[in-house]
Amino acid sequence: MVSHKMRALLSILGILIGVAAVIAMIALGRGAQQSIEQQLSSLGSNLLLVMPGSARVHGVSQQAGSYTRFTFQDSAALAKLTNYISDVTPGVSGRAQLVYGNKNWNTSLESGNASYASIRSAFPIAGRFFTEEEVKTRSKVVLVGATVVKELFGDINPVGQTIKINLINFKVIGVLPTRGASSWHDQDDVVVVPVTTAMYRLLGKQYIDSIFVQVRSPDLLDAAQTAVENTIIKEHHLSAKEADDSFQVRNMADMKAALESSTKTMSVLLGAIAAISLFVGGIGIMNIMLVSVTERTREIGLRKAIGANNKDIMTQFLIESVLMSFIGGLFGILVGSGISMLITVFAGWSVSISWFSLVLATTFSLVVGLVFGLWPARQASKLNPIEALRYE
Amino acid sequence: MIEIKNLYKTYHIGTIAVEALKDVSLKISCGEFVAIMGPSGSGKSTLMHVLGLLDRPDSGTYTIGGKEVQNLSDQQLAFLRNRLVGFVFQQFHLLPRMSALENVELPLIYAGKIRLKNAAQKRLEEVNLSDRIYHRPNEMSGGQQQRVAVARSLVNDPLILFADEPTGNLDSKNKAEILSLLQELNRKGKTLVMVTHEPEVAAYARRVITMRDGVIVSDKMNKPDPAGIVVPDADSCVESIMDKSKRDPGGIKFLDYIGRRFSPWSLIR
Ligand SMILES: Nc1ncnc2c1ncn2[C@@H]1O[C@H](COP(=O)(O)OP(=O)(O)OP(=O)(O)O)[C@@H](O)[C@H]1O
Ligand SMILES: [Mg+2]
Repeated sequence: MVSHKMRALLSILGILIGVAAVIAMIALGRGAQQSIEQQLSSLGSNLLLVMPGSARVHGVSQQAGSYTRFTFQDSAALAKLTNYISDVTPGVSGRAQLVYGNKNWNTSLESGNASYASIRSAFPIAGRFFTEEEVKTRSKVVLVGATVVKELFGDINPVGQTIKINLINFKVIGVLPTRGASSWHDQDDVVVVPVTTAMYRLLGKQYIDSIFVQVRSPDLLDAAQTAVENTIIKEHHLSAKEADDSFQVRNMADMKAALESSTKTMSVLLGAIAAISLFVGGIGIMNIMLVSVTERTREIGLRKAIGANNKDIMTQFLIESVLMSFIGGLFGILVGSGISMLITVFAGWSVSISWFSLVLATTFSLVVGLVFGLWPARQASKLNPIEALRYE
Repeated sequence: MIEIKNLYKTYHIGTIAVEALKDVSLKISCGEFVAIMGPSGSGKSTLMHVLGLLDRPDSGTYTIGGKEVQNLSDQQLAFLRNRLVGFVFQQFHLLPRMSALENVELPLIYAGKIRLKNAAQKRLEEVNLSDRIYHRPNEMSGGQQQRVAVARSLVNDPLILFADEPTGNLDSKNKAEILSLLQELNRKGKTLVMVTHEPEVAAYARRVITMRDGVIVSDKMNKPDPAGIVVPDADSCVESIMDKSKRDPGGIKFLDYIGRRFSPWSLIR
């Protein structure tokens, strides 16, 4: 009996691991998806991004002349489309070397006008944002992200301090809100300065890298996109062919969809791994049930001799296998949830356990018990009572 | 009450055919106590299994109470095994992981009558085991185990009791106990068919049938029927029992099963 007990526990363990894997994998996949959604929502959902070059810029060599250079004239023209558009911020970006006291830090530099705060959801948590006046006068003011604060200032309040950006003195006027770390990119490792300051004082750029356009409402996105494209074609007197590949207007919803589809692929992959382990667990259950049928042949014979019919025997064995995998499933849910939480705590990845995955895992474990118990149960029920009783 | 006609049963082992029953015909009436004797391999057990509905003959007819049973479905046969006949084996065949009481309750479960809780307990009292009801089989003597088996065979109040060498594994003291128990049951009206090797065991029966090589070679009365024996009119009740099988309470049976037999721990116990 001891060996039977041990085998039952091991089979339960098989299901347990399978279910735990399903829970943890789905939690991981969902977590990744949510963190991407969070990052995208920090960009704002009604945004259009206007950039030079075609969507195929990466990987395809650019032809001379097929590259529109944006100026403040363009952003001003877009801002006039007030039917569709509430705000516009032109921007350039690059790297910047920061110095404060004896501390050095290399970070990414972003820029915009006074509307940057509302368009990019970047209202400072301390201090203030820069004004339109400061943009016009190319003021040397800067807002810093949480990572920069941590690296350069430590416990000191950064607002009001002076730091050097690429050797020029800047006054820190605010701290940016945290956007959260994504797995591949720290979004808080950033400084934001007025776009004019960035172009003429820091990066030496003559043209704008990109224009963020805030559309009034989500249902105007398509109309706004067309209006923006037409405006730029008109401003730059572009031919139809040039219009196609010398600039692009990106819709945040499209980018979101692309990212989501890639996380979905990841989720499916993780889910498949989990399903395989559950399947293996099911084979374990089937194995022990077959052993149990052989081991208990005489019991089956006896039960039949005193009045059990084939259905009764079948039911008994099915209940046993379903119960076993159900117990495995329950403990699997506990272990899987535990693993998910450990991943959150130790690896810092956000994971999220869903009701869906709990229900799925429970149902799955029941189904596994049923399906893999069916064959052994049928074997048991087909035994002839006398032969079964004689079995040694 | 029981009538078999021209029963044949042949076993095939590879190319060798063993004729265990050859053209066996037999009639047993209500209230009889029959012993079947014969040398080893003469087909006694085979006959008992056919009579006890545990095995099907190759050919021939078998009627219980005027009803032919050789062509019944598995479900119907199981039902008759449960209600109509009781079987006692030489090897007891108790389930080792269950107490005496639980073993005796088993036929009640398949009858959907587990609610009659004290039925099992009463049977155990009848076989003088009221102080052993929570003992496991391995905590009991052979005689006690066989008495549990007798209680189990009686719990659904069958018409006929079959016992295949019920004393074969017992010492003389336990043997006498079991035999007087069986004799007492017969005196109360139970029809009894018993297989044995030993003449002194067969002496308890009132009719002795002798078999050799698959045929009945002799069939004689041991002693006249004692006075005061109860002979029930059983022929009519078979039909009514069969009728009940059509109203098989399958759902209740299932719930009983889960409720009584299934704690999760029973899996790893
Ligand atoms: N399952 C089986 N497969 C093959 N042959 C069998 C089987 N069961 C019984 N036999 C054969 O049928 C014949 C009758 O067997 P049976 O068990 O009825 O004898 P028995 O009279 O009960 O003997 P014993 O007194 O030893 O119990 C024997 O020759 C036996 O070898
Ligand atoms: Mg025998």
